[in-house]
Amino acid sequence: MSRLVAAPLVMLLVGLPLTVLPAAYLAALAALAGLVCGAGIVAFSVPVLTAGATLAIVEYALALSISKAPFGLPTAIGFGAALFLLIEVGDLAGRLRGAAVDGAVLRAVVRYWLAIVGIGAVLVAALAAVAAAAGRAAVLPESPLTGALVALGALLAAVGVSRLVAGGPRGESTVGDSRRA
Amino acid sequence: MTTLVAWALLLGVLTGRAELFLVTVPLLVALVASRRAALAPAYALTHGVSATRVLEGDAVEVTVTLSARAATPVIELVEPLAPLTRVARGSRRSFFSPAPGEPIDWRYTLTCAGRQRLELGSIHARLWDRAGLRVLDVHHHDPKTVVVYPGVEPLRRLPAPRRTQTFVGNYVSRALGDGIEPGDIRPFAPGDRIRQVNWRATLRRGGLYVTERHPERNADVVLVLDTLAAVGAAGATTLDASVRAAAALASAYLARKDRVGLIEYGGMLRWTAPGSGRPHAERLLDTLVDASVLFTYVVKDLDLIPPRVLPPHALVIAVTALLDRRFVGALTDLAARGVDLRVLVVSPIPAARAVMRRSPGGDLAMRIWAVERRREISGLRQSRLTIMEWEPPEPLQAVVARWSRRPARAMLAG
Repeated sequence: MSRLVAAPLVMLLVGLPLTVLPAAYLAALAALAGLVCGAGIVAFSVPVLTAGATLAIVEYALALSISKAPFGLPTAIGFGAALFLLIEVGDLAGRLRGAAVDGAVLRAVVRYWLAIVGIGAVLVAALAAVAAAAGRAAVLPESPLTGALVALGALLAAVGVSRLVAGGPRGESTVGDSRRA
Repeated sequence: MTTLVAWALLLGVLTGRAELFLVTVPLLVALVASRRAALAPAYALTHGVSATRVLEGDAVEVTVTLSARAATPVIELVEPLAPLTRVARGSRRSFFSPAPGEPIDWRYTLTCAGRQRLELGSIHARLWDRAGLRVLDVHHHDPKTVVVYPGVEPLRRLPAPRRTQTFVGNYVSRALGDGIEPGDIRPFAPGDRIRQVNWRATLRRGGLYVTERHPERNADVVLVLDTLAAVGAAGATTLDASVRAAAALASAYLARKDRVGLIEYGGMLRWTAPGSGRPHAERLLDTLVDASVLFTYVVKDLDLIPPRVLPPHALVIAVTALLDRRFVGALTDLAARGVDLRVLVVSPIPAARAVMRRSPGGDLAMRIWAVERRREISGLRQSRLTIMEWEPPEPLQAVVARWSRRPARAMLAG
């Protein structure tokens, strides 16, 4: 079941960059990314799935960089949503494998995914609108200093994300007594 | 997720395309939401089992009730599977998303394949946030013990003892007294009751004659279980087969009003004095559940066993795989004392073969072992030991029926 859900997401993830730049070499990279993602889904392996998704990001970056296409908001939203949902579906499928699952669990998780995708889409649209307005108001000069500032900002963002995730442990353990709990 | 965010940001910086920053937004939203989600075990678990005493092969339904006091995103419940058990229905791992005030019953059925004291009620609960990024492990202990008794094969014919005891039972005693089995006819003597008068003989002979009768008596049966050594896979060892045989024999003799005792001859000498009735049957089965091999170099002497445990006129049935020479010595000792001894030899070859990979060398070794065992058993028979061999897939009834074959209306001393 999870494979049926994941298959269209993989196709969307590797296919969207091809709408930006339909090229043979990009299609080869898309096929490779699709294969790795498929292997991750079949093997219920999140690391392999992450590797495939990373290839898809590289493919998207190449498509954007080579084509010099104008800013495409719908494609970015679609790619981001597909990326998030694919990782979540792969992770959930691995966790639920071989277990009995209550229907309420799936309903709760799907509601959560839709909420995240909705909030993400709204945020992306808002960011794009703010960026467009700011771009019209002031254009930064293309200089080594600007490049350095941008790189520093990206580095700080990466460090912030890493601390955000690594700061708190994923797993905690306690011992309980059901008669007391 | 962090890896993907890092890759997208890096490539966004390198290519200078804003789209690559924007694709990270849903992932960042999920990371932030996960960071803010609080995980606390706001629930109660109760654990129940459908039966606390079952036989091998029986099913036990486990019910875990989950009651949440607050909304819990996703909770995973796992109960470790005990050895020699398998899940027959349901799953021992489940995911729930409980709502407050709505208890959830999680049920699954276990089948117990081997005798044991099954410890249930150790549940691992794992609370996940909805993204699966944060987790809280909680262990719950609500111990429940399920005693899995050895399977009892019904036996219709049993080896009869040479001597009987003084209580009423199912064996026709050689002694004369009150009973329903007619014996000799003799002239009337003072003290004889009128109802003993044989009127047909009286009319034919012209004087009063009475019919003597043989009373029905019970017997003392002592089962000696060899726990010095065992071979085979867990749940299918020679000791497990011996225990099943002992349980079947004990149940069958107790059903015939006999008194049954048990001696575990192994690393630790344990015994249960002969007794009768249902409580005693449960006591014997409880002892058999715990029978295990405890390795020792010490040779146990049967003199340690008090006479009330091994009564002089008891029928002694030894159940053994004949893997340890010390047990053979104990058997020879018993036979030398004139004990009414029968030996049920459980063949270890099927159990050993089951754990061995099939190979020509292995098959040859098994054949050689079988020949050596036949020679050993033949030697024991020459020492006047009554021995029956049993290969466990074969029904025990077939072996015991061959053993109990005896002339009809035979009378027993006592």
